[in-house]
Amino acid sequence: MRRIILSVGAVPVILTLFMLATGTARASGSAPASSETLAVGPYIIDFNLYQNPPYVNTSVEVTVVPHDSRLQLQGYVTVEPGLGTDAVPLRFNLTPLGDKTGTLKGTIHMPVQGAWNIVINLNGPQGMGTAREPVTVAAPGAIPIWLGWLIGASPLTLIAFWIWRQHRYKRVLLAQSPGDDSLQVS
Amino acid sequence: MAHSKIYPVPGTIPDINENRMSGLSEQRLRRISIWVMLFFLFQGGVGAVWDREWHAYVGRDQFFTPPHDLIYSCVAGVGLMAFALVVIETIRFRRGRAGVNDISTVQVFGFFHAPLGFVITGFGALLTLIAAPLDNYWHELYGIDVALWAPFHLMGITGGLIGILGMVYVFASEAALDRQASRPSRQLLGLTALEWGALLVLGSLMNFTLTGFLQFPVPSFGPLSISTYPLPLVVSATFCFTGAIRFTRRPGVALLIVFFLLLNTLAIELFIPWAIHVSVGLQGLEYRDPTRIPYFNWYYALLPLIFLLPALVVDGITLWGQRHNSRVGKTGRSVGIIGLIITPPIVLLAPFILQSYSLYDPIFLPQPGLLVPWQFYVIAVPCFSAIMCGMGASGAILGADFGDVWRRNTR
Repeated sequence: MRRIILSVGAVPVILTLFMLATGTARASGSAPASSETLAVGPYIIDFNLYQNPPYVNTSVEVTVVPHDSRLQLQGYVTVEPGLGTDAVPLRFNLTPLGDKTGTLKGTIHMPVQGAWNIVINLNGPQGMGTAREPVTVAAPGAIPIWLGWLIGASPLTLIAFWIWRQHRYKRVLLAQSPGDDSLQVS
Repeated sequence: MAHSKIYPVPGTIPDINENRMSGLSEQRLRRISIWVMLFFLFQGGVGAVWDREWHAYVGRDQFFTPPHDLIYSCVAGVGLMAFALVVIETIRFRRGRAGVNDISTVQVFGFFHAPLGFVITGFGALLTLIAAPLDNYWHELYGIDVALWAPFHLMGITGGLIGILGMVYVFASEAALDRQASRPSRQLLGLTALEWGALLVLGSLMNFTLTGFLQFPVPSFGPLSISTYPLPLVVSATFCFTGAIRFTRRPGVALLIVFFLLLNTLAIELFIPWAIHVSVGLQGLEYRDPTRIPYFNWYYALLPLIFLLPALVVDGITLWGQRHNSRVGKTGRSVGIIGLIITPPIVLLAPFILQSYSLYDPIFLPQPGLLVPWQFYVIAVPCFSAIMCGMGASGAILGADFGDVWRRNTR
């Protein structure tokens, strides 16, 4: 019996360790999901996206690797909603990795599914530059609208039931103390 | 002269003392909890208005925005407190502690025993918490500007309404217990602290309605659109005013609710623009439209004044009825008529106060560029008026029903 309990207890521990271990491996050594060479004003860079398509409301790592590693670039990324996406632009800072390649790293997220533009803004010895990279953000499968309304409106039936119960309960209370000047049901 | 001496039976007086202490601790537990919950309710009210303004001025950039933090910490706080109360009360009931019995608790699911109000409040909080991730999912799919009337907004709002009404039950049942036990309690303007608490909750309920009213649907009938925002205003006002009157039996309480509401909107209107400025600055965010920046708005701050005349009417009729020992305000029909009477001032005054606050302040909104035939108005105006008056009367009757339960329910 004790062995069974121990075995059952070990399952969540192993699962947690597995999740932690796989998460670390991905963060430290994974290759980018997509890489694009872009001209950001005067600077030629590789823009790496570590999840493509990005998933809605999930942090995605991005890196900017300049072809000329001597450039000391600074910059930020703005994600702008594309056509048909109802959202607001968001800004994320890029920070230097501090290695010989001069790579900048940042983490972005997009809160709504659909078309977005990742706008890379860089500043360096040759001035400022901007480039735009379109992406499509994926989302979980949509439940039918009618099902959403069915779930969302279901508590209203409880309210109707509650009102009905209250009316009956009031009659019980009135019957218990009829002397009080309460509402008479006409 | 005969002297009689009473000798204590061994074990009896300590038992009585223990019971009294236990009853007192029970009372204290419930009352401290409900006042803390009231604080959470105010916090949630501020969060709700802040969230509405955040959507309008900044946009919904993620789930954990500052106003969402405020709302959901309030919901979680209330929910956890209600759950803890239900568990504690069940344990105390099973141990036969004084003050926890069938008179002061209800049985839930055949196992739990707790005051009805805590059960209702906990259920409302649970519903709102369930709606939160579903609402987030809906926003992820359909964008940040899905209107108030999205399915899971509706679910969250319903949960909020249930939770708020549950709090009125707690205050009211404690007041009813005091009244039945003829316990002396301090009064201010003829109302005990518990009755004041219930009125504050009713004021918050009306504030909750004000928060979302400008986002109510605008159905179109041919070239004519009709704003439905006066509907919740009318229902909440008639419900809360008659409910409060029936619960306290004191003329003047409707006016007090309007006063709370006015204080609330003034404080909120002072706080929210400042809070948005600070949050946007701290988080390095930008306004959706740099030319539109939140500022103190007298029109929203003074919006509760639309309820001033209706409150005076309700209080006046109640006072007259009490002085003349009349049945006015005591029968279902007369309460319905009171609801009918106070509806037109709300419907007419709301667009007037809101005219510089929203483009959608008029009730009848002809679609631009289209000619609305006069026959449309001939049909639309009486239909709209009948619906409004019907809602006003229904709200008043419902409020009276609930008020009577609040007056007598000790569970």
